[in-house]
Amino acid sequence: MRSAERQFLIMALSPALAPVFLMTIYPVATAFYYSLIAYDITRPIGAFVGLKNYAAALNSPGLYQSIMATIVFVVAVLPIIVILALATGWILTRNFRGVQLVRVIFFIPWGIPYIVSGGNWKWVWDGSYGVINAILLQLGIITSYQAWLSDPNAAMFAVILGHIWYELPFAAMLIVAGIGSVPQELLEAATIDGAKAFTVFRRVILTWLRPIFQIVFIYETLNAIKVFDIVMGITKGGPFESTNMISYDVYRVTFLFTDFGAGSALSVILVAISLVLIVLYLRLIKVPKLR
Amino acid sequence: MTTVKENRSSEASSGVSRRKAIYIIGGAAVAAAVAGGAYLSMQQPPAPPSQTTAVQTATEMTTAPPTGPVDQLQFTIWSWAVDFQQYSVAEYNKKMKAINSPVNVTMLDIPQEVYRESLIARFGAGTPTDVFYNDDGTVSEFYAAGWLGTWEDYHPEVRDYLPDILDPVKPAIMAPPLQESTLWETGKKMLTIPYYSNYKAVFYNKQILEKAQIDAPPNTWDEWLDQALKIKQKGLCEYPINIILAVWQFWESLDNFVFANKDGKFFDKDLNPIFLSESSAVYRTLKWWIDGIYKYKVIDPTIVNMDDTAGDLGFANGKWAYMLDAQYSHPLLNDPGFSPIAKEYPGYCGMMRNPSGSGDVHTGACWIRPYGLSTVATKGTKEHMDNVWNFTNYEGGRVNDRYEADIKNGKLITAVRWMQLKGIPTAYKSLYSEPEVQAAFAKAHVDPDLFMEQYLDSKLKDGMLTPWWGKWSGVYGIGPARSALEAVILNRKSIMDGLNDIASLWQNLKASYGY
Repeated sequence: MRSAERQFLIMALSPALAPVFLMTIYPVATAFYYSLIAYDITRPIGAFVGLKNYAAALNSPGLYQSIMATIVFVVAVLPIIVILALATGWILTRNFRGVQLVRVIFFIPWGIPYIVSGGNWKWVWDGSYGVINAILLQLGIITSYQAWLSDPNAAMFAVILGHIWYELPFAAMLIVAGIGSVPQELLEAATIDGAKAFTVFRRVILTWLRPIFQIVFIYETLNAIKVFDIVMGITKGGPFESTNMISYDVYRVTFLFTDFGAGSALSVILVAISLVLIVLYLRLIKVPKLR
Repeated sequence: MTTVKENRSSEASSGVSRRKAIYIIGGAAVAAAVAGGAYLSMQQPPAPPSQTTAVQTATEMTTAPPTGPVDQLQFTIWSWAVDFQQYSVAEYNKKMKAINSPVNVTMLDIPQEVYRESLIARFGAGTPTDVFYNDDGTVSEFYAAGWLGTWEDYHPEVRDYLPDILDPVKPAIMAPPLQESTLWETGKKMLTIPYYSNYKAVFYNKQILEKAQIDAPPNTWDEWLDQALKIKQKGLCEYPINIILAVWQFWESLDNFVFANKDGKFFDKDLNPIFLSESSAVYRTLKWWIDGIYKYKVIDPTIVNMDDTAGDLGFANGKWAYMLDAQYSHPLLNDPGFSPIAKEYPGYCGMMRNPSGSGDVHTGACWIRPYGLSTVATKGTKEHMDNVWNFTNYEGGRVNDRYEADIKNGKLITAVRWMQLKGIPTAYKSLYSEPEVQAAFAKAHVDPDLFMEQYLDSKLKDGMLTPWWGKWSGVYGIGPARSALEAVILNRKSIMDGLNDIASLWQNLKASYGY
């Protein structure tokens, strides 16, 4: 390539790539840089420590606990979101009276700021006024109000439920779009060939939806791994760190303990875990070529 | 029409393949990242600060940001009573306009639960800030980081406020803001002036006590437990005692119990933990709480997540007979518009002296919220600093009719407004003789003598005035020490295990700061 051509290429692409450098490359590079130094923002010494922040993070019992909490969370939310999204997506593509209204109502949670929905869920689970307590008491399941958010299992359940409630509409919307894009002639051909409704669903629609599932899986896995707002809103990582997911732990280490070096190391570890999972998904879910 | 094949051949002929283009762009990205990293590394100071100069470091790390125009002031608060502060700032701006002053204040509010972390990010990034709400739990940390200026260095007359300020809260507004100990010299200057100050109060529901045929509120923990059991047995409350522990009140509530004991402290004069024995005040407090929750079932088991909103609402509706809360809730609890009980029984909510755990000690916990002077502001011109000084005095001190600082003859305009409109007390003794404040007390059924007696018999949180307090406690958030103690309160960890954990954390942090 001639020098002039190279210059032209860089000039032509730079308006589009500048934001990428500024908003992605630079922050990631900065986080990586900080992960290699001792950097407490309240007394920033800034000495190069190599991989010590990583070693400290990997050896800390806190990281193990937060990874375990994150695994429990991801494993719990992912299949539920996918299955419910498929079911609701299917229902929302049917033609019945009021389907438009149902769609609007169904998508409301997605329109609420996540941190706000976290605050609302905290009140739902409140030990003194929570609606969950009120319902269970009315049904005779409990005899007095319970401090749900003081119990590690119930707190985790509350966070899982809040996340599913928030994430389900978007996943379902993708499924709705996917089902809507199935070619009519494919469905007709399958019916003419004698396929029953379930077979059409399984063989045609689910096959057609595979790329959509790939997106849903990757998107929802990443969202689950980096869950923050709902944890902040409901439990703040408690009780005693039982819902301290890894992304919330990054926040705690970075801003609560003001250790930007260790926080950056944790962020890089989080990105690495996410990348491994993405690659894994891309390899596992092979998209067939439909003819 | 151009085909894909043609496009490919065109690329090949020009020598600009897609792969090569990606290499070029990727190379540029890496170069930019490396250059950015190198630039950042040049910003780092070469050597760690010595112990004596630790207070300078964080500010030196960041490039001094430009301050705003001299007449534009930036005021940062946490999101509480934002409507009040909007009104207050609007009044100030209106006055400035009326006297043809170009000064204008803009206000930013940040949720209280993330206030410390947001300010750390703000100061770390060098964002222009002039005046900010400061918590007594962050004073020492921000001062040590070099983010907090000392007003006495710029306006020595600020010291004239000192005789009027209540003694218990003074340590948090003096520089250096460090706990009195043998570790630090204490030649103190006045750091700033207060936004408000208050203490923990134990409220009781007179109606419930009357129904239980209890003549007077308890004087000791033993009497408190007996009364609570009696109320529970009569079926008047499921859990007679409520303690507000969530959000910012965790340490205040814990200290309030600890202080009500002979030798009620966490640390000795060298800031070493003294709570690792079953006879310590901290151990006894946790034991009393745990027995109250699980053995006697007289303390509400939801206290770890109990914030003042839920607490005030429940108490105002007769859910508990006793509640440890911020004293400033007293007017609200006795407000007939808030409490249905207050409609039928005016003044049903009484306040008692803090019950004693041992040694007939009734000391409680207090706090102060000072206005922080940002060191970013101190880099501005003298005119800018004068504007910041006047505004700070308008918000927290005495000003004349032009809203200029006037410590000798001015009025506590905003402090009186806080008291009248929100029931928020301040640290100025003289305020309590103002007729408006006395009228506000009478309306809220607050006993002024008892109010002051408990106030003067209170202390700031033990260990709070250390630079590592935020990392240990979490301030408003759930720091590692708080997390360990929550596990104890929730009966998931033994008291001694929890105390060992927090002692070890404390000593490690203390050592990491070179003390």
